[in-house]
Formats: sequence, C-alpha cells, structure tokens
Amino acid sequence: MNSGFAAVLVVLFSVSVYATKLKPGQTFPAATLKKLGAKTQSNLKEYKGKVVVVDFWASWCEPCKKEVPALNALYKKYLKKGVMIVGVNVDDEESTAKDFLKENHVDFPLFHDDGKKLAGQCDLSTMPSSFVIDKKGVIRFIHSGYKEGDPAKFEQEIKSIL
Amino acid sequence: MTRIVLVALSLIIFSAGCGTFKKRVAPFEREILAKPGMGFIENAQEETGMQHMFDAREGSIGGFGGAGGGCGCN
Repeated sequence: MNSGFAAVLVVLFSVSVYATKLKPGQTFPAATLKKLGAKTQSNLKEYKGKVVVVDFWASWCEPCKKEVPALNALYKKYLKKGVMIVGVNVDDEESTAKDFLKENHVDFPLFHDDGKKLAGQCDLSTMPSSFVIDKKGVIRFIHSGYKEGDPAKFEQEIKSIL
Repeated sequence: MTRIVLVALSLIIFSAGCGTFKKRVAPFEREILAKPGMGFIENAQEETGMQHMFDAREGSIGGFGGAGGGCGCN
C-alpha cells in the first residue's frame, strides 16, 4: 500500500513539474511556423548559428505596437552582424495581423503561430514576450512585456552573446 | 488504516486539482478580452480614473481586468 501511495505522489509531482515556464539556459523549442502573408512554412532551426530574438506579439496588444520601431532599428543595425529578429504573431486569425501590418511597418520576418502551439509551449506570462537566443539555440535572456529602456537592454544582451 | 490512506489520497488529489491546473486565460489567448467592448466603461482613460477612485476611497483593488478590456498586456 505504501508503494502505491508513493506512486500517486510521484504522478502528482510530475504533473506540477510539467507546467514550468521556459528559463534562460534551456533550449528554445523547435517549431515550424507559417510565414505571415505567405503559404510557405519555416522552421526556426534555420536560424541556428545566429543570435536570434524571437518576439511574440499580437495586433490587439498595445505595448506590441510600441516595440515595433525599436525592433526594426535593431534588425537593421545587426542583420549583417549575424543577428536575426523574428516576430511570432499569436492572433486568432492571420487576417487581423495583416490589417495591423497595413498601419505598422515591420522590417523583420514574421510568422503566424497557428493554434498558438509555440506560445503554449513557451507558456508566455505577458504580451509581448521576447526570447534572446544564442547561436546554439539556447535561451539566454527573456523579456516580459515592453518597457522604456528595453531597446538598450536588448542591444546590450545581443552584444554580450555575439 | 486503509480508510485513513484513502482519505489522505482523496485530499491530495482534490488539492492537486486546485494547485496544478491553471484556470486563468493565458496572456496570448486574450484577444477577445482585449476588445474595448469587454471593459466596463468604453473610455479606457475614464475607466482608469474610476478604478483609481475606487482603489483610494473603497480600498477595493483588482478584479476588474485592465483598462479598456482585459488583455493584461505588460
């Protein structure tokens, strides 16, 4: 009976462990996402060997709009130095994201997380959320939300792992 | 003895249900909640002001989501 009791405790404990969030030092999940506005799909593994900033955004999220100019500037500045910025949209419908792009110019590649599978895997705690990933695919820094001073922080973090 | 173990097991399973499974709406699933119509007041600024007033006068904080809807961004 004691062993049965212990088994139940192990099961319950493992269920609670399953719900943990991604942390720096963990490998970013491999994901195949549809390119926004195109029919082609792309795997984020393609960017292995580069420093990658994966930014989760949505058209209905006000801080996401505020971060776009800063991410555009970072993208232009660091593209040739081996840095890729990738936007992952989590709108229910891809069409609302496309409407957003009519009013907001985005330079970096955008993907649509259909069914919010990747966002679910990352267990995002805020919108927007960004992951700074090193050349080996390991998460080095995580940004929750978007605040004043974040662009400088992004730049500092990118430089530290370039 | 068996009865005690069974009761203990039941309690653990019930309490695990409270603690482990999240009932909240994830931030990336709040598209509908973020719509302006989901707020109690249509004007987000007015809503913020009203909430501030309630916080200060009644000490009633929270439970109303974010101003202008419940996207909970940032």
